[in-house]
Amino acid sequence: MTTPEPLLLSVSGIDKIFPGVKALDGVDFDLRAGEVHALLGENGAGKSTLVKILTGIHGKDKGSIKVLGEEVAFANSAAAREKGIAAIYQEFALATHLDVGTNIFLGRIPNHAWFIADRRQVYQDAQKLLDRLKSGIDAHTRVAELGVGKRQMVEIAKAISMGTRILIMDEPTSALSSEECGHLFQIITDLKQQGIGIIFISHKLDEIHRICDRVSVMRDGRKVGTLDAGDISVPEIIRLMVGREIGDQYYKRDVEKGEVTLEVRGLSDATFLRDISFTVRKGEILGLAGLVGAGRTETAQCLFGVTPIQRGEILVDGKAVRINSPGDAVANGIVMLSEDRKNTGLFLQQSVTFNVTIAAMNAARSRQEYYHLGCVDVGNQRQHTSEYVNRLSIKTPSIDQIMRNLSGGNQQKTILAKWLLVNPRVIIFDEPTRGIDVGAKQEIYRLMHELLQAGMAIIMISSELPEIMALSDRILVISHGRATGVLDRSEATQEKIMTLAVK
Amino acid sequence: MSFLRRFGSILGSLVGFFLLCAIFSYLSPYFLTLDNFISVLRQGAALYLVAIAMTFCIISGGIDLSVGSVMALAGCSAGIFMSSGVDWRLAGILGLLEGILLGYIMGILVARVQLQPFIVTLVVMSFARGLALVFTNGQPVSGFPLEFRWLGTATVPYLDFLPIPVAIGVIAFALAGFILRETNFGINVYAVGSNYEAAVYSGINVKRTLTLVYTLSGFLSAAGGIVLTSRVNSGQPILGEGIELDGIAAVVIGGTAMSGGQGGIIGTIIGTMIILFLRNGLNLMAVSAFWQKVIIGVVILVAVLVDKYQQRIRAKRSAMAMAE
Repeated sequence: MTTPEPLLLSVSGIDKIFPGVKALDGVDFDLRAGEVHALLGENGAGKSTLVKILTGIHGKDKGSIKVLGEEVAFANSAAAREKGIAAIYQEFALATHLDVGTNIFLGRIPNHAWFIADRRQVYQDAQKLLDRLKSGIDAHTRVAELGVGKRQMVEIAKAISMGTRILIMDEPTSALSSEECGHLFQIITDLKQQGIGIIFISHKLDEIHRICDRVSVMRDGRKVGTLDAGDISVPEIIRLMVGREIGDQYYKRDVEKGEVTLEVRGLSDATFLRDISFTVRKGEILGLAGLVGAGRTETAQCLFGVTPIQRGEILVDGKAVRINSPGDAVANGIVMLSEDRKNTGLFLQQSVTFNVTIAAMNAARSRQEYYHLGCVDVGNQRQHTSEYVNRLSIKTPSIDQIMRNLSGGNQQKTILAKWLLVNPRVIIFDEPTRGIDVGAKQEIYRLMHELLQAGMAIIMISSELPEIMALSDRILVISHGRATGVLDRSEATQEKIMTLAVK
Repeated sequence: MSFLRRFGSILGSLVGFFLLCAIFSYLSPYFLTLDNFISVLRQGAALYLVAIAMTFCIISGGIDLSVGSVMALAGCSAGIFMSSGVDWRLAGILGLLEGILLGYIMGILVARVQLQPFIVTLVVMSFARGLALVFTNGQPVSGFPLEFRWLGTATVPYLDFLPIPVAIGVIAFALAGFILRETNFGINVYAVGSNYEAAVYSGINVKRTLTLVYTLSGFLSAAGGIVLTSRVNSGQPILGEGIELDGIAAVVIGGTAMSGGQGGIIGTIIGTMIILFLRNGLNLMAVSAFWQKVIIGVVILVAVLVDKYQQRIRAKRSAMAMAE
């Protein structure tokens, strides 16, 4: 009989009301020392609100928060940090122009005399932390030179350096390759052994059983249950999250394949893509697999005209085309839903109408539909927008709504609507479901199926192996800027993909 | 390698500076003389301080358009005090206090009211220039004590070749470089300019940092105005008109990015020298002031193009490193 671990954090009866919405309704939650506690739920279920209350960004309306048995109230994030609570967000909070050591101790750099910063101490301490995490990062490196995985290590090192006992990780793996995930989980295991409690938020449910001890599921601002991770299966978690059964997550159906729509021959760019060749047929999904930074996104960017092609040929319907800009790509029927929705996919401050019609209004083929006697034909604009909002069931109060106010899934569907208006032949989806909740993911998959039925070809980039294996008809694996192999749907296994990905 | 990484961004402007000197030495026999160099450096007094102020503001992600107007206001006020009999040291300090106060107000408006630096400093640019014109009634102020003239025209005791304004510039550059590189405040200036949210989330007092940046800028501008007033021996309400553009040009030529978070004082020193010696060389060759403007425009363009090119190479290199 062991004595129970002391409760690091104990939250009870938390209410939070925003104008018009009860975001949290009597939420209880606790965290033991050395435990990884998964906090799950669809977007809007209240996870982020709870996290923001725990980190002092929002105040609570009712309820109590105890850290190691002591009642606390946070006026700001600094107060929460003082009690040992820190969060690592999806969008990393690092000053990218500064070096790693400075970032880790930013705001807390010790002075060695008067007001002169003690940089040597900073680099020394930072290096010790980084080595302890086996990160392989030099404290003098500028953050801008690091990839996503390493930036996250810097964030973790920063949190540890602040004496964090309660670490909140908000979708830490959403941008990591499987290899980097493995490293992260190793670090999480080490942190557990040091008695640090971790609140782990993720949409990738297969991770839960790898590292989590307990699972709490939220829905509509309430907690619907807390269970030991060993006692619950993924389908059960999903049922708790959405409140209903979701059968056939990926919605993969057979579609008749047609002619080759897109052929790429010996594609190379100026930096590191070398001699990539592949084809995609009508009605087919070609998955691009590989580690983060292997060259998948770069390949897509070449096809979409964002980065110039150094050598190689692109053929659409058997005819060689020149693509020097996204405008050229669109003119040839190639469109891309980028992985970075907020920066390259959307005009967040503009309306749904603006976002849906902006591409079609600039595409040579459809431009004239939107102008009447030299003026913008607002009626036509709105009619097309309404049509696609209905067709893709984009949930928005009106087509005049500002984009920022839509959920991730609906934003993604808006981008898809934008591209459907230009009648594409080939659609490139780069991480189409990143940061999107389970229900919306399924809708995106269903839409992809409809696009295939309508005779389009799809190239899909995804770091989630289960997703890419379930959806792709063929999988092209890219490693270090080279295509290392093509696997047919029937022969693809995680092992085979990973072997090619590290080749 | 680490040398290149650290100084790679200013290498271009340094090469540019030497190239410029080589060309003018060839074209004008007078260019490469000690007399000429000292006189150019002496003329640069106000620009040094303004360029330093601008470096801080731009690295923090902002800008300060008010520098020239604050110079004029501080210089004229000090002049008016002196001509009405106030001790020259006290008059100078009062002028500096004016600059500090205006800088502080700009800082509050930027940091706490969260107005855009461009707008805030544009407002003060007009406001301070107006006050300088009102106080002087649009006429130059004169009649300063001999001791005050010392500030702008004398040389450092025991170092006869070194004019006081140049010495002030050297000390200011050294101090500014030290503050930016070695103090917490300096690091925070980079942090705020690089990623404002990250700075907030790291517990940096961003409001205090920004307020200090603009206060410092006001102080430096006022100091520049007083030194220049002493050198020309009259309080000119139109003092420093357009100097903000020279300051911005010096900073940008020195490789500091307008988007904030990058750059440094060494670059600004080289940028300032390029501006000063380019103008001097063109003067020596009797190029008209009109054509000088055209040429300086081209030089700024070349500087940013070189910088852009270097950035692209660096991005390529780090992309390759990441792919490893």
